[in-house]
Amino acid sequence: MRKEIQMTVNRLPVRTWNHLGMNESQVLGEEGAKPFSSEARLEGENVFWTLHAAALPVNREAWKQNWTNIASGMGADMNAFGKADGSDIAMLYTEAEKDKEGQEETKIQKAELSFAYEDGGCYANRLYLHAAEETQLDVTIVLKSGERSNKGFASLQIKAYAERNAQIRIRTVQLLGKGFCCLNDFGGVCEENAKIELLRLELGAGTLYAGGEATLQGQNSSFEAEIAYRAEAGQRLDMNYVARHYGKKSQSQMNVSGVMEENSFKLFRGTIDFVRGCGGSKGEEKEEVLLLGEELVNQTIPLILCGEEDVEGNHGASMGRLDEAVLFYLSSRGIPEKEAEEMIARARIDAVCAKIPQEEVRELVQDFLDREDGRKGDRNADERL
Amino acid sequence: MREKTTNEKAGREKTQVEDIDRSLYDFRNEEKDVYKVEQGLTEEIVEQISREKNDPQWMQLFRLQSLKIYQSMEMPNWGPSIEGLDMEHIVTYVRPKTKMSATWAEVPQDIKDTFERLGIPKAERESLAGVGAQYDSELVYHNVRAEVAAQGVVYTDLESAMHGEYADMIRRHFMHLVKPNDHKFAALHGAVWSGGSFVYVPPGVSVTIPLQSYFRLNAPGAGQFEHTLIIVDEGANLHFIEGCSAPKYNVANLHAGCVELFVGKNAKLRYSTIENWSKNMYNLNTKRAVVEEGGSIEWVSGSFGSHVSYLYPMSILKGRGARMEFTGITFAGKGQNLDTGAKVVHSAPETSSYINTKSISKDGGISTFRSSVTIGSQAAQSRAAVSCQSLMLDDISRSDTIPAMDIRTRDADVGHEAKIGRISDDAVFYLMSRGISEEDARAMIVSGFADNVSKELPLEYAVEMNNLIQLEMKGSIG
Repeated sequence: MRKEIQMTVNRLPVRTWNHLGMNESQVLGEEGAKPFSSEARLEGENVFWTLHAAALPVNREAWKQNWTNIASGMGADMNAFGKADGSDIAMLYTEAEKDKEGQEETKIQKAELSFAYEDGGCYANRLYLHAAEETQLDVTIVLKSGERSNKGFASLQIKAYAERNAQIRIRTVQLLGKGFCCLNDFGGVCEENAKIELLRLELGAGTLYAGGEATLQGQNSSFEAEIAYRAEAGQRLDMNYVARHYGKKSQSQMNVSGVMEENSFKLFRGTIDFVRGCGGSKGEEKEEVLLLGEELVNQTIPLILCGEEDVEGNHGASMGRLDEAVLFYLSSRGIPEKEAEEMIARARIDAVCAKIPQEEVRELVQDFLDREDGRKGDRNADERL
Repeated sequence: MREKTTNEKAGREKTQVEDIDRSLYDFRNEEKDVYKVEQGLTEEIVEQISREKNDPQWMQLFRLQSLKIYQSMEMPNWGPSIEGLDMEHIVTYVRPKTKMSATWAEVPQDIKDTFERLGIPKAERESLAGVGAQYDSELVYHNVRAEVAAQGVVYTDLESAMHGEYADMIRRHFMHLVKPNDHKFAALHGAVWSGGSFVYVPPGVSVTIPLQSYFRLNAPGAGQFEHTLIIVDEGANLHFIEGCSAPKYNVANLHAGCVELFVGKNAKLRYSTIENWSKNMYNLNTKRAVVEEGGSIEWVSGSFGSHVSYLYPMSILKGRGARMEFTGITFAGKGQNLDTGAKVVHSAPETSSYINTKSISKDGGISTFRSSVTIGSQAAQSRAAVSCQSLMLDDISRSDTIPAMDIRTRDADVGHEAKIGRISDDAVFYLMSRGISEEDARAMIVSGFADNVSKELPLEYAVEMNNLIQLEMKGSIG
């Protein structure tokens, strides 16, 4: 029997009442988590991939040493998870373009990674992304498992560093079976004028712990997060996102869109932190949650922390059932309430899915949703019988 | 009239505020012939307080049980630091050398002068239905207008009510809403409480002008633990005002009061507070209301004083259609860490709540808005909205917002918005182009920012609040 490892993850940057149960979460990991080997599909002349730290180029070694210092949403316990079992840091990086002069625009370096976990496995992967000055790195990651995975444990931690004027775009599509527990962590740093974009579709896994933190170190740096999730019966989602503004005129935008069904649980923590000295910065966070079932637990705690006068921080949240006017309109078109709800719920996920450029990934998402909806349809039919 | 600072005497306009002028509140009386217990908190001290107050036996036991709970509980591991508060050096009971009177003439001159300077007797004559005035641990004055008393309204001190015809009612309600095991300072309150008011408004009675209790803490290094218990019966209506202040000392003072409000079916209660404790005060106050079917509770809360505050009035919407509205403003200046907000629990269908707060931070002050909205699975068709706005007046202050929401039914409509920012340069420029000085323009904008709270207050309190803002803003242009 594997030994369990207790981790404290998703700590709220500032504590609040303990009885709310939102300050942090406990996860039971397993000792013996192995890395899952994924080959990266690369597209571009200046993008490189290495699975082993030993093969890192010399000039990147310093970043490898410092990578644990990059704060991530799930927190420091994630840095150590899987390390003792030999899970190495895979690295994906761009080199600065040598003959930049004369080029009209920066070419986007692309990479696609797919983690198709085996049922019953216990995996821990760490990935370090590094975009050199003036380069753009665009990474799409798919996490999936067998259709009817009964058990499994998958952990992925991504740390990213965007040098001056660089851009890193990360899209993670999580389509694990309901028997999986998934830890999906991110931490990134932006230098001057750098930008990190994070898109996440969290659709699978019975239990999900997800985190994301951006350290906006440089002037004019920015972070954009687009998170969409669907929580079905029995699913438990626990998330923590933080945008920390240090650089002047830095910007952050977090858009969260979720659908919750009967007997699901979701806790979303979202923080905009304006550190003193980040004058001229702006941060915005929006959350929309569509509630489709009874007996659900929908928890949200959006923080704005402000130690700087010259900033603008906004947060807005809207939670509830489908708008009566929309329901009425759809029913006047002959669409029953249940179907209308499903349609709108699907549309919310589709709106974020449409931002993924690769058609095959979008199709994977649609297949996954069709399969889940089909299963639900079967269940409803069984209930009717 | 406040004294002029050296700069002003020299004919120069101040460019930097050293400290806020609180001469209106910051005066002290010498302690003469007062009775006080030893510093610290022991079983003997609690028993001594109980004897002094002639507690019924159940209350004596209640105090001792609360003390045990207090000793077993940890200090909060969230919120502002309260390390400067050493309970070993707090005197929990200080009795002035007088008994409670129903006429100001019987109140000792120095204490009477204190309340005169705070404007309480004048307010009573002009705009209140009844007044309770507490000085340190005991009430020194309590009176209610005859016509209000004739309607069956009871407004008295809790201690004497505990021995009279309302003894059973008090026993049924006292610390049933805020239990001693709620948190460490609720337990402390249960052990050493003293003073406060009991209000009972019979069914259908509408008290058209407000009642007010004013709490003044004069003794240095002391704690004030008054208990306010208000029961507004079915269909009744009441506006209750609470004011508090203290002179500033170099040692820590503690306020750990408790307010329990019972709002009956279709009843309405408005509870207004202007808190202006001195800046050596730890204000760890607990306020809670339970609202029955169709009833409504309105909180209006202004937090200006104290060194550290933990203050989150809570409403439990227990009956169908119960409503809650919270309007609050917090102004944190130099040396202040004010953690304020509200809590609401929707536990019945068709309930609604609206929390609307403004906070201002200046001169290194820290203001935190903290809230929690819980909508239970039984609270179908409930609505909740939270709006918090924060204004930062300089870059050495802090302002945080920590709003939590826990929704357990799909049939709820919940909205939340938070904004943080500074005074718009354009607005200041516009006002200056109309001949208003920069300082006045900024004060005017801050007053406007606080307007939604001041318009909820009775006129004289709104004026007082605006004066406080003007005082805080004076010399804010460095």
